[in-house]
Amino acid sequence: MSERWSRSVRPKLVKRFKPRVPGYSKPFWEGINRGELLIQKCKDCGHKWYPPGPYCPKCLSEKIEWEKSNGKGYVGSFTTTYAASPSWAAHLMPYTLAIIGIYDVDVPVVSHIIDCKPEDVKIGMEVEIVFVDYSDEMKIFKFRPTKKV
Amino acid sequence: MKGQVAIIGTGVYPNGTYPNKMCIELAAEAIKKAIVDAGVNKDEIDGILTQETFSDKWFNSDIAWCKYVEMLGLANKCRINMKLSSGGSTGSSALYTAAGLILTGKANTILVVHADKLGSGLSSVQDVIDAFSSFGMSEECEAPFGYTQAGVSALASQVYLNYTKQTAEALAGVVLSNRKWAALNPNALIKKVHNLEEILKSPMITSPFTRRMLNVTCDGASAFIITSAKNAERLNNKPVYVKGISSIVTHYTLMNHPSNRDPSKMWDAWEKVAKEAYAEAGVKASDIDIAELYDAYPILPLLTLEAAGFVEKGKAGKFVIEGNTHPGGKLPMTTNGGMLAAGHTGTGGGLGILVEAVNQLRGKCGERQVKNAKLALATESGGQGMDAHAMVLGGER
Repeated sequence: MSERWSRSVRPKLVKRFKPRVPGYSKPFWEGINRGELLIQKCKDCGHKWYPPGPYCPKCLSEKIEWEKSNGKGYVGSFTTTYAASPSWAAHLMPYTLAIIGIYDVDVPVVSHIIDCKPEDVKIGMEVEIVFVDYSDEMKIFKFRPTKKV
Repeated sequence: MKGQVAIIGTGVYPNGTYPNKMCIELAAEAIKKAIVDAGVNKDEIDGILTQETFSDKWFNSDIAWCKYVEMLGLANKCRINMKLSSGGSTGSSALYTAAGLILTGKANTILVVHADKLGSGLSSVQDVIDAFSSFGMSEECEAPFGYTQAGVSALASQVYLNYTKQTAEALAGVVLSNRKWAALNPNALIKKVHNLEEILKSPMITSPFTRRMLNVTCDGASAFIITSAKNAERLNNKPVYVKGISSIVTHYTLMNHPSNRDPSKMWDAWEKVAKEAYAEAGVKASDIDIAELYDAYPILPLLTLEAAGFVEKGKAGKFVIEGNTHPGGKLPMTTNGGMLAAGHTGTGGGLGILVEAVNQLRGKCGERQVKNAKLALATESGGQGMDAHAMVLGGER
């Protein structure tokens, strides 16, 4: 993982914002820790959604399975934050936030674009998932350009 | 709605930073001004709707726990006191709630009030940023990535500018328009007018937003009093009628807004609510004299100018840059200077815009008064642009 901040700020990782995760989201984050992107799918109506929820937002069925995605998608929108980040992300600046449409599961996710200069990020750019350390206990997912830019 | 309820008085505590004052002092002054302005006997107030306050936990709980009822000597007279929040659209949510209480006969004269101290009430600017990086953000799926309210609006702006083939100059045009209005508003925080280049060349915060494209947080309070049309006519003090109101909620997380799959859907929600509010009021876009548009970030006025039928899609940037929304322009817009220049007080931002619309229609805006303003469109939105609210207000029923 060639993420710029991962070496320089390693000692600070434990101080990172620690999100609480509801029970129904645990399989998602366990998947991320194993290096798998899992998306909820309703066994009754076939609907898929993200962020994780307690039941299908379309039909309220609780019969949910987790579909594994290959994590390939495109940049729907992006913004590079150079200043005024929340305190827990200050060491990451500048960072490029993006909404990414994932092709195979057809849901959007929010993440960072890495391994790419901010000025090279474009709407529609093809990206793929990478899994990086977030804290000593937790991994997180980010995206990098599929083709070298 | 059709003019069955009317706003009869307003009060504001000027936007600024008041480190030696508490929220309750700001609120007390805005409330007293609104009562005096309405010319109503305070004992007639039988409902109080307060709004979420971010900077003062104690005050935020006090207002739900009926502090105002005791302060105003309304024990055993006031029938309902509650605290509302839908973020930036709380002013409109309060208007809806008040109208519902009045039209069902459960209350007749309602005070709506908000006060907060986002300028001096939190310990640092970083605290304000941290707060606005958690309100309305998914704790597990957005916050870890350093999402901010500015970042969210920047993401929406990129899609809008890319799809309509406009540049960041369109965003700067909104800021310039609002700054021009704020310069005429004695209650505004920023009175300095920067030109387009100065706005575009200020430091980049989160692309495409430069520093001067961001709202400015401040201390302040605003209030209004609303009653039945019948009671308003008895008081005969230039009531402003609520002629039409409509809203729709589109998302919690911006990633799930339909425009991410199909940018042509970007205007849908605003088109729907504007159309419905116009229809209820029996008016059309060309009848509107002033557009008081919610402007936490400059993308919203552009989007709403187009969706509400004032200008073709993709042409709002040109429209504002040409001066059409400036003082003296053909469609005065956000005439107090909005959150981009007059100041952002939190959930009171939308309430401030609503109060401005009422003041314009009552002819009480001094130097920035728009001549012969009879009909206003006001808009509000909260969270990650999660909802669209449109209100048509008029000086005649």
